[in-house]
Amino acid sequence: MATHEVTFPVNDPAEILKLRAGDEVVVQGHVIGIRDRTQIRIFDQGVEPPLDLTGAFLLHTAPNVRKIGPGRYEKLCIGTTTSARMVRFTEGLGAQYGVRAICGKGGFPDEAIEPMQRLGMVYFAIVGGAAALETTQIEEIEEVAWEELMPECLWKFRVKDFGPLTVGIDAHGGSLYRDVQERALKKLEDIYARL
Amino acid sequence: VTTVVNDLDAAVEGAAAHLYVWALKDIPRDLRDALADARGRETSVTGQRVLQTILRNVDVAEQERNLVCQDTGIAVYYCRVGEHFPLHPARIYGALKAGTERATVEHPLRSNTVHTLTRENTGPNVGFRVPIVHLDFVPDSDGLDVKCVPKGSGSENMSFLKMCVPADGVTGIKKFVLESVVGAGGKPCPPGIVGVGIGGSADYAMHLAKEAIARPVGTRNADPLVAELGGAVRAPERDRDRPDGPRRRRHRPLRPRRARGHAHDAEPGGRELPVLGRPPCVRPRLRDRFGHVREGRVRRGRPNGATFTVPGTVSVTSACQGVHS
Repeated sequence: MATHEVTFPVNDPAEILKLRAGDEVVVQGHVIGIRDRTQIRIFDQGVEPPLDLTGAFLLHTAPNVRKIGPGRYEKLCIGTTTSARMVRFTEGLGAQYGVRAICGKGGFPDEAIEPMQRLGMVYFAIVGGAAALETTQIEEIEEVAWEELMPECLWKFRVKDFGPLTVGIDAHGGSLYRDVQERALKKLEDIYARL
Repeated sequence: VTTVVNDLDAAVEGAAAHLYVWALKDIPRDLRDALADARGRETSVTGQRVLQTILRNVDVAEQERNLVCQDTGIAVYYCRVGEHFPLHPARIYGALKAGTERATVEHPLRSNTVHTLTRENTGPNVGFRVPIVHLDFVPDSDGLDVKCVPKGSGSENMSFLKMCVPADGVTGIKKFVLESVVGAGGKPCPPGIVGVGIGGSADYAMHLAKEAIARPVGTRNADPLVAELGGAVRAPERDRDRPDGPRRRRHRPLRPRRARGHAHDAEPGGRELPVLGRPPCVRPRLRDRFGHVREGRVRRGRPNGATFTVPGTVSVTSACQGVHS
């Protein structure tokens, strides 16, 4: 299992293709915060996002922030939410907006594997609940759009050494979630036999 | 309304505000020990990375005096109300609600409560029947004990209920627990703590599972028949028994105590709610760190601790008719 450092947004698809499920990754650059309501607005209500998502790294989050001025927010505690709820937006994010990475907790179900492979995307697993640590890795909240959806706005964070993240699903059809689930189900059969 | 009632109102409000924030910031010692113990035993590289990150996060939250997680959940309060406590439960509820609101606005905390159908935010972590308050009444007492258990939905969503049939027996219960754990997979935030409630009505079985989750890690049910169901679950290693010697720390670890008087214990002892009893050393620690211990506890009766758990737990419940512990 290799260790990588990737700066987002990425321009070169090779940056994504070099990542394999299980690899450790530290992220630099910019991270876009997004959640259920943000994506419902983009895809179900057809509203164009005011931030450029080309080559972007999306983080499933609804941060805890303090307002310090018009459109200005200070970070208090920023962590992640369960990704599986938002899997249906994967194809659209990759195909229409050129998103390259999605990060959250708990993983994506198997239906994300094929579109991620076809569109050259990865899913990064972050440790759920480890928000205090993530907050120290977020340098600044640079932009906020759709404030009326608070806290499910569209956020732009500048990060430094964001991680460690684990590649959960890679752009080659590999998924840790599928593999671990398969192993667990096999083990479950053995345990049932001993009950 | 008398001055005493007004003062108590304010004290309960302060207790609610204080407990909510405290529970979001400070991970109990039994969980810290269990995490450190797990890191020592974990063999997979990814697993070690995850446990290391969780332990780092607990330390960072402590150093920065920050919340452990941005999800401040729904505040759930468990109250033991003495029969002679001068404040009526309706006013206790009002004070707990005001305290939740105050903590959310003053800290500030993220407002998580939304209308079930419209998804519109309903206020600073308050709404229709939110916070959730459980009341239990204690005879021959004039005190009030409050326990706050903030509940994040990432783990709440991984709650499961099954109505078992006698024909499947205890094996059926065990299978359901295992199947639920595997089904939950990585979705709830690690570490997963599994609470199991067996018996009663559907709602009561779930209530028992929640109580079980708040018990110190490593404690077993007082009924040997029930305790045996869990198999050889390993309790966190005692500090002095570690092969590399005791770890250096500021406080002596709070030794996990056997949870007393669970509602589903064979012989509920002393009409105590489970896990309310923390060792008395919680008190000086609370005073040292926050300086206003009185606000955190409202008590005029026998000493008893206020305790809490954290978001990140798996609640598995099995309601099984005819298999009542």
